[in-house]
Amino acid sequence: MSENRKRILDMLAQGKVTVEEAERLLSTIGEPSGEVVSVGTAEGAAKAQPKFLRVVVEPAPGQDAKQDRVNIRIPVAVLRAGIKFASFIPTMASTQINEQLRKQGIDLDIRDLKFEDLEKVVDSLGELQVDVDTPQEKVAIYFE
Amino acid sequence: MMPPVLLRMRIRNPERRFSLWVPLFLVGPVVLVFVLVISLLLLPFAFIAAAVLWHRGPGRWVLLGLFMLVRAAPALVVLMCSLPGVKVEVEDGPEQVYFSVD
Repeated sequence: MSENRKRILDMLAQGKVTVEEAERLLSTIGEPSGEVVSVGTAEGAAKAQPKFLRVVVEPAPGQDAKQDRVNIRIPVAVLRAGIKFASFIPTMASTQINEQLRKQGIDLDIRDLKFEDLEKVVDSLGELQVDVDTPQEKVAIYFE
Repeated sequence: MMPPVLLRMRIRNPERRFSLWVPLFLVGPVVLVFVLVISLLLLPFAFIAAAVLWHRGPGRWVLLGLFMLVRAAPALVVLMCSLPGVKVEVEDGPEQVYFSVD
C-alpha cells in the first residue's frame, strides 16, 4: 500500500474526511508508482488542477439497482481545447451572433470573450460540486 | 499530451450485442494521410470556385472557410490529443452503451 493511500485511509478512519472525499482523493493518486503526489486535506486536494469532469447518475439507495445509470468522464483538456475554437469565429459571423444574442435579451459581445478569462473559469471549476438527491436517483457533477 | 491510442465502443441490449475496438494508433495516421491527399487534390478546385463565385458573394465565404480550416487545424490536433480519458457509460435497464477513448 502506497504512503499516500495509507494517509488517506487514516484520515478517513479519524473522520477528517468523508467517504466521498476519500474516494475522490484515492482516484487522484491513481498514478503509476514512482510519481510523488502530495496529499493534504480534502480542501487542499480540491484546489489542485482538475483533470476530469465527472457526471454520475445512479439509483438512490433502496431503489432498484437496474434503474438508469450514467457515468461520464471528460478530460478538462477537451474543454480547454473547445474554448480555443471560440477564437476562430470570424468577425462577420460574430456580428450576426451578437445580433441574435441581443434579440434573445442577452447583452453580450462574444468578441470580448478572451481565452485567458475562460481559462480562469475552468481553473476555478476544481471546487465545483453539484449534488442532487431525489427519492429515485442521485446526480453528482464534480471535477476531479 | 498523447494522441488517442484506442477507441472502444460496446452496445448491448436483450436482442443483440455490438462491440467495436479501433486501434487509433494504426487507423489515425492512415486517415490523416488520406485527408491530406484529398485536401491537396481539392484545393485548386476550391480556389477556382471561390474566384467564380466571388462577385455573387458566396466566393468570400468559400475562401473564408478555407482560411478558417487551415487556422483551426492545430486546434483540432490539440482537441484530438485531449480525447484520451473520455469515458461514457449509460445503462438503461437491460440496455448498455459504453464508449471510451484511451
